Amino acid sequence: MWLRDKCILVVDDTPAIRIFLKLSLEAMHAELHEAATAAEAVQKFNLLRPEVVVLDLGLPDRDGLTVLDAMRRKTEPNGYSPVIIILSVRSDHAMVARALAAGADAYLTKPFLMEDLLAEIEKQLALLTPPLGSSSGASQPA
Amino acid sequence: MNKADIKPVVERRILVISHPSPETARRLRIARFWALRRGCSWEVLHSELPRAIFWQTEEEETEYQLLQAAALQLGAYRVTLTHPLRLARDLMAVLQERRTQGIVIDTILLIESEKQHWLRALPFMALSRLLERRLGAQYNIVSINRLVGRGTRLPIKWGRWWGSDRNIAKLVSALAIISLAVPVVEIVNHILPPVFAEGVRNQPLVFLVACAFVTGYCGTVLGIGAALVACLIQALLYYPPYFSLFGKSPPDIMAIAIFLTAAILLAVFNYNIKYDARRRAELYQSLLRVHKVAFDQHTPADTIRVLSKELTASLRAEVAFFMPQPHDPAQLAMEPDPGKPLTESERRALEVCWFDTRPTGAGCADFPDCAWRFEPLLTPRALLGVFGYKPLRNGRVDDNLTQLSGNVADQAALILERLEVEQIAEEKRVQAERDQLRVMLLSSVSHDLKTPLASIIGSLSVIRSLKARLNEEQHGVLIDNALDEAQRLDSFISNILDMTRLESDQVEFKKEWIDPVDLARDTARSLRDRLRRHKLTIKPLEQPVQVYIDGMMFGHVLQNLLDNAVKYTPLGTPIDVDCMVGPNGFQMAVRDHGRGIAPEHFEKIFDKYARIARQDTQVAGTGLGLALARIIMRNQGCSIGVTNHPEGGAVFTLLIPEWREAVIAGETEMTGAEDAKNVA
Repeated sequence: MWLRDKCILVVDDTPAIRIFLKLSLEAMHAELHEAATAAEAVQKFNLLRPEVVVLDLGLPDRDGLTVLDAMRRKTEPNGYSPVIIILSVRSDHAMVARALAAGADAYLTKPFLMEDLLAEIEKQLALLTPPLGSSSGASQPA
Repeated sequence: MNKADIKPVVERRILVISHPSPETARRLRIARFWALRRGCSWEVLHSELPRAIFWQTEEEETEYQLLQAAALQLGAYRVTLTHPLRLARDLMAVLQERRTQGIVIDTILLIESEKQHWLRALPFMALSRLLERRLGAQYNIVSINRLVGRGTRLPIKWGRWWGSDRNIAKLVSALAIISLAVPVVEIVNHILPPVFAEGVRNQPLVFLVACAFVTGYCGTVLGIGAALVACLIQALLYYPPYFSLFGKSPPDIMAIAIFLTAAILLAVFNYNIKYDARRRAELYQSLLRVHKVAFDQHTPADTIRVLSKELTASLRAEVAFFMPQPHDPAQLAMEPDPGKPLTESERRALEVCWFDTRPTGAGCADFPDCAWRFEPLLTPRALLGVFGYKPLRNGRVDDNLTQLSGNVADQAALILERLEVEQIAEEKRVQAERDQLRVMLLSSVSHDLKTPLASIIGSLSVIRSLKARLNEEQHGVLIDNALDEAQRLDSFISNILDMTRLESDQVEFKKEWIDPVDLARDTARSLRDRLRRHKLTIKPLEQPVQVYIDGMMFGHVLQNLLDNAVKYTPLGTPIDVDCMVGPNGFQMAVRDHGRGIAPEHFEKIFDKYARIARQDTQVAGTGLGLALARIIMRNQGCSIGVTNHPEGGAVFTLLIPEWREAVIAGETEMTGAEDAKNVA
């Protein structure tokens, strides 16, 4: 169970998307947190230090890219660097390139299959070196 | 030149000799009209200034290139550059070359500036003889300056004598001045040596000076009166028999008559000078006023209307603008339409003005008997039309008026051109904005369609891939989630289709008397799935009412308002629907308990473009629901507005002016005044 106890932050303003992401990721035994706005996302990110962030770009209060930027600036020298996966309806190359350049690890366009998202999370977590391993405990909410 | 080299005539052409001048571009246009009218092609031999012979500056080269481009754009066959010192040689070379090509050039059009006109006339005359001698052909050399003259001087009008300066003070002053002339004559006669004074009549000169004073100071009428009084005094005091008007010798009578004529002429000339100066001042003041008023207009039609009205008063003339028609630029339409068509002669004068771009009609060498005068509306870039006026009540077209009308035409042309340029720029801006909005609308619609699809596909894919890990409740939640989003998708698509139909006027509203509370309940029932996480309360009026509106479209409005409330308020918060009757009609208010709406967005939320005009990544939906609601309400004479409730949340109020108390056909029609009914 590769997602067991992983702290995942889902940022999306559409409740329906948060609902199925929550159900599915919790079914995988991940620890799931939700945010509907950019402000909420940044606040929870600072508080929770999640290992995975699933981020929508179309947020009501701010552009999701600014959230991505804020999260990447929180990357610490000790190696804390969460996996950030973008979910967006925008599929043009320019936007994908901008998101990847801003520090996103992967970019999935909506609509997407849950299998694809799970595969992407697994792939990105496997790519992390050194693996979060024991240090993941430090990123759990206090 | 060998005659065998001369080819048969294949084309007639006009050669235009130009030189750099601010007027050149404008006059090239005149040359073009000349050529067009004669069915010829035209080309330009451009004579540069001596200083530019070696293209010393880039600026001069650029100037030439611009002129060349302008001439070619206007249809000139080609533009050849020459220098004044080489002009004769190059001109002959061009003429010879054209003859060998079978192109006949018999007219040479000279573009000359005002200052250079007289200086250059002589060399051109010499040139004409030179060409005739060397090439054996006669060339008609025409100066464009002669084509664009501003009209001829007319005789001074002998009329309008009476000024407004007749009053007692001036009358007394006039009498005093004339009376003063008597002692002055005596003093002059006393001072001057008798030899000089003898036989020389000093008194006419002194009295003439006195009359000039009176005329200048007191006006024309008193000036003439002073002349008569001075004449009388001289007859009585200075010509024997004294103190009698009769028995004067013929030379004395002649002297008195000459004095009287001179004094009266002095008064008349003075009047004309004053009248001309006053008239000129009036006209130029009116021109300034007209310019100011016309400059404030925003469309060519308004400008023409205002100019016509103002100029009718200022010029004391019937005024009209003759503008080319969009569908047929060769045809001129008269604006405003005076109801009386132009005579054949007037129409010909108008055509000459239009095609030759020069003034014609009254006060001009061409068509001087015409009642109308026509001035081309010409700018350095374009000929926009013709300005015409016909003085009212036997008025004359004098120098002042021709100068003024020329200025008016120039000003009007510039204003109209400015508006035309602004209109083109505005159209381009609107087009660019529209294109941008179209792209954004597509992006936004794509977002609104893909988001529910993402939820549906995501939920179903979770069920498929994680079926074994989900319990029955989770299974149900995912199914509900997918269904909700499918309904939302349906709602989006309906809104887009409705908006399209409304904007293309394909919707016919069928108004009828309906119970708004029943309709609200029906709408809530159809939305029960989406409303299940909120508490909807519909409060009817104690006395049931009916409103006159299209029930189906009103249902769409309510559906959008409820959908909006669900979308933007936290789960579990109440949604209230209140009804009331006010002075303006029946009102239905839909209140949510969310964060409310910032007052600066009260109008924007009803604008379908307001939300899509945001940053692409921030697009949260097309926002068509509220825009649609407003269009539907307005199309039926109703309205929709929004405000924030003092206790929190947004309140959308629908106002329907036509209402009545419900017609009770039986108990079944009465829904009753239930206190509150929870629908969801």
